[in-house]
Amino acid sequence: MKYFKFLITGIFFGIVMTKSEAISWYRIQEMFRFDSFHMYGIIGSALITGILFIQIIKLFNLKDISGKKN
Amino acid sequence: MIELLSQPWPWYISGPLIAIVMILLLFFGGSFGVSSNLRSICSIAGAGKRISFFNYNWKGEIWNLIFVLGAVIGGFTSSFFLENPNPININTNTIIDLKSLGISFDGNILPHEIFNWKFLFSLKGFLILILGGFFVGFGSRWAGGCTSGHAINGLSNLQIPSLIAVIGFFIGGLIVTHFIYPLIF
Repeated sequence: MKYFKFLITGIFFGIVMTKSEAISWYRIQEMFRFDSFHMYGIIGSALITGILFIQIIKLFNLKDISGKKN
Repeated sequence: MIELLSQPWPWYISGPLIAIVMILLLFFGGSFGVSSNLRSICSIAGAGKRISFFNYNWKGEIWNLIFVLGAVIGGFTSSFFLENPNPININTNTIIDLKSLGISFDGNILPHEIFNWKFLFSLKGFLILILGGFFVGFGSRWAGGCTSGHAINGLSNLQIPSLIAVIGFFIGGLIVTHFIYPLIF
C-alpha cells in the first residue's frame, strides 16, 4: 500500500504536535505575548535541523525513493 | 516508557522531530505543507469546473490527505494513550492577561469558553470561529502555504518568499492578539 508510509508519518506528526503542546491555543497566546520561549524553541530547532538536513541532501545529491532529486 | 512519553515533550526534542517529518515526506516523494490539502478538498468537491485554480490533478495530492488523516489519528492517540496528567505549564502573565479578557485557564490545551458547540451557535461565536476559519483558509492559500509549508519547509530551503510569508503571519498574530482580542472578547 503506497499511502501507508504517509499515514504512519502523519500519525507520528500528530503525536509530536500534541505532545509538544504546539497545538495548544494557550501556547500560541503565550508566544504572541512573548511570555514563553517554548514555541520559538520548537520552530527554531525544527528550522535549524531542517536547514541542516536540506544542506546534507544537496551536498550529497541524495534522491527520494522514486529516484527523483530534490 | 509510557510514563516518560506522557510527559510534555520539550521543545528541543519536538522541533527536530518535526524536521524529521519534513525530511521523511521529502524522501517519500512528497513535500511538507498542510494547507495545500484545502485546495485538494475544493478540487475533489468539484470547484475545478468553475475556477481554473482548482482544476488540476488532485489525485497526485492524495498522499497529503492521508498524511493529515494520520495526524488526526496521532492526535487522538496522544490524547487517549499518552495523556499528560498535569495541567499544561502556561506562563502566569498570559493566564492573567487572558483572564482579564474573560478567557479562563483550566489546565487544558484549549479554552472551553471558545471551543464548544454552544459558543459556535451563538452569533458572536459563529462570527469568530467561522470568520477565523475563513481567514486561515483564504490567507494560507493566498500566501501559497501555512506555517508548516512556509515556516518549516520553505525556510529550511532558505526561500525568501517563505520568510516574507512567515513575517506576515507573525505580524498578523501580534495584531490580533494585542489589538483585536481586546475588541472582540
